[in-house]
Amino acid sequence: MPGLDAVAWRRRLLLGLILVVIAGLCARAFYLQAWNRDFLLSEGDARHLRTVRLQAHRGPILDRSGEPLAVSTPVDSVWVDAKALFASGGKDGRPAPKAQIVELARGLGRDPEALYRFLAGRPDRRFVYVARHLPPERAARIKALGVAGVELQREYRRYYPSAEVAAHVLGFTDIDDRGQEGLELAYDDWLRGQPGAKRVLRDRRGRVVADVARIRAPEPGRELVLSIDQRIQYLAYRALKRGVRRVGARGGSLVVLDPRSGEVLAMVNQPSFNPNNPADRKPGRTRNRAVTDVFEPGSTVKPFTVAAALASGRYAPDYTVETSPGWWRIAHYTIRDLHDYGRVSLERILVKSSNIGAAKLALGMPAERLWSVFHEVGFGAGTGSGFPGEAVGVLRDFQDWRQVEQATMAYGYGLSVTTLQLARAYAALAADGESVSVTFLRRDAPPESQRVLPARVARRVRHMLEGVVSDEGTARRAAVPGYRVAGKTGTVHKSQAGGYAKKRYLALFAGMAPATRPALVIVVTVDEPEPGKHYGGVAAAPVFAEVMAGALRLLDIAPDAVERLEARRGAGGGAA
Amino acid sequence: MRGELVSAGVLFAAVLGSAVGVVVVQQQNRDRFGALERLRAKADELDAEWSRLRLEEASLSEYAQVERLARERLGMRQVRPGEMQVVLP
Repeated sequence: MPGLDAVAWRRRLLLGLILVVIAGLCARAFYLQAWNRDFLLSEGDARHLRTVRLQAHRGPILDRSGEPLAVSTPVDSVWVDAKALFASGGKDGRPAPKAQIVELARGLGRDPEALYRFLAGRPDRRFVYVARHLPPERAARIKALGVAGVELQREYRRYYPSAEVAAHVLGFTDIDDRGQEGLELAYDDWLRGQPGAKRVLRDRRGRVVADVARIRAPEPGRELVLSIDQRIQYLAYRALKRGVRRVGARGGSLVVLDPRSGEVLAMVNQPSFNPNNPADRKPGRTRNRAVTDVFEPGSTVKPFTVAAALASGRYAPDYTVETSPGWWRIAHYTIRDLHDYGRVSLERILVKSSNIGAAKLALGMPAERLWSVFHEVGFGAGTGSGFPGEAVGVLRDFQDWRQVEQATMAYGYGLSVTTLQLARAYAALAADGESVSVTFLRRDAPPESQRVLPARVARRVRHMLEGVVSDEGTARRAAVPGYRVAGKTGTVHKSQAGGYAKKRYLALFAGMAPATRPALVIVVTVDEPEPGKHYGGVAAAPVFAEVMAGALRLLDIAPDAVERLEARRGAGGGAA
Repeated sequence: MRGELVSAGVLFAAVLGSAVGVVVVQQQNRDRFGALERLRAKADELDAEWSRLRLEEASLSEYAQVERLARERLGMRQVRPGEMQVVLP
């Protein structure tokens, strides 16, 4: 039998072993709890705490009275954690991945085979979009199918309620809601929201169990209030579309400008596109021609030639020029008029649009005079609109002008401008010689203006331009009943490589009303009207009259030619 | 000796009390945060609804639409210049 010693020894051994084990456990606990604590905590969190991005919506674009032109609405995109989906087969009572994918495809309305092939090709990807921009209700139904690894992501889609009408000015955004064209691009930083982030707790299968904390609240983008008046914009769109179709033209542009504030009230182009439909965004259609396309302005610059002549002090207002016999040779170049107008006054040069008259005026003053007026009213320089891709046109330095060029420059060949630049130049005539920068944003205070022509000269030229819009002049059809209209037509041969195209024209009309104190300047360009209907007075002037009449009525501008209206009422009764 | 025992007892009670307090506050915090998140989700929903309504309003009041209705259904037309009587101040 064992002795007492042996019993005591055995007990001590056992106790010792137990102590060693306890010490081991303590050491391990200490190691985990104190030594390695931070590392383990962060690893644990990393396995179930996730930071989720909170999408912020893009600011809306509004017209000057607050009507929405572009609005972002929430939509959901469906994405799949492919790895989780393929790993889920059979677990938790789920069917095989393929069966789940078939169900998902049915929910999305896609071909199950194709979707399976698509996902099977990327089995390790943790983030694959399977559908983008679904209405939230539909996305919720897809999520409710319970397919493993399917998650929704909140995104925003841009809608343009006015569709084609303001498409060129607004531009559009890409699928990630970043501005791609037009004002969406120019003011992208202002409109874009700052995405927020929140921390959430997720379970083993990646479902969100609880929101833990908000790291950063999403900051929605700011509103952008434009100078565009949607009513005038629509009117202009309709009139231009009709006008372009009527003369069988390839396209056209129209700008409505407030001459005192420099605000663009409407800007439309033909052909247009529907910004809500990405398939419609073909390169030739999305270009804002009124700002990006340059052309030779032709006769529409004659008012500035006359203004330069008057401002130079070399010509009295009653000066007359000999234009017989309807053609005039300088160097090896012949300038022609449509008819032989004989001896003409400055006003008749504009009313009849005499090239010879304008050329003779220009050659009678130093080139610098003509150049500085053209330059001051904004030819060959930016308008300050900040529109992406804006062209500045060409106005070469007067020191490089040859005599022939000085003559052709006077009636608008040898320089190039955009429709918007032409509108800005006419705005200077309309605002008694004060020029302002052009803007697409609403201006609440009048901007700083710069004097570019003496007020007396601007008023006199404006008065002469009223003669153009009369039975005598080239733009009878630009008349607006009840208002005095001043304006100028232009019919330009389009240039092409190696010279001027034979039967390709640009029809122009630039004008303002009411002529006593112009409230609006409108410039219309019609690109390649059918021969025979290609004159500015035929293709462009009626569009001008339609938009001007409607816009003056919409803006409540008092008529300044009531007597003519009364005369009409007396003569024709209601039969007008 | 007695005083020490009493103060130990008080401290023990205080520790227990604060432990329970921590649990209660944490629970409240969770509840409140949950409520806040629900309200935020609701705000989000209302925001979405508002932008949808805004769009709907914009498309209903589209000028082409209004003009067509005015012309076709209501038989309206624009005043012709000859029918106008202008009164100037």
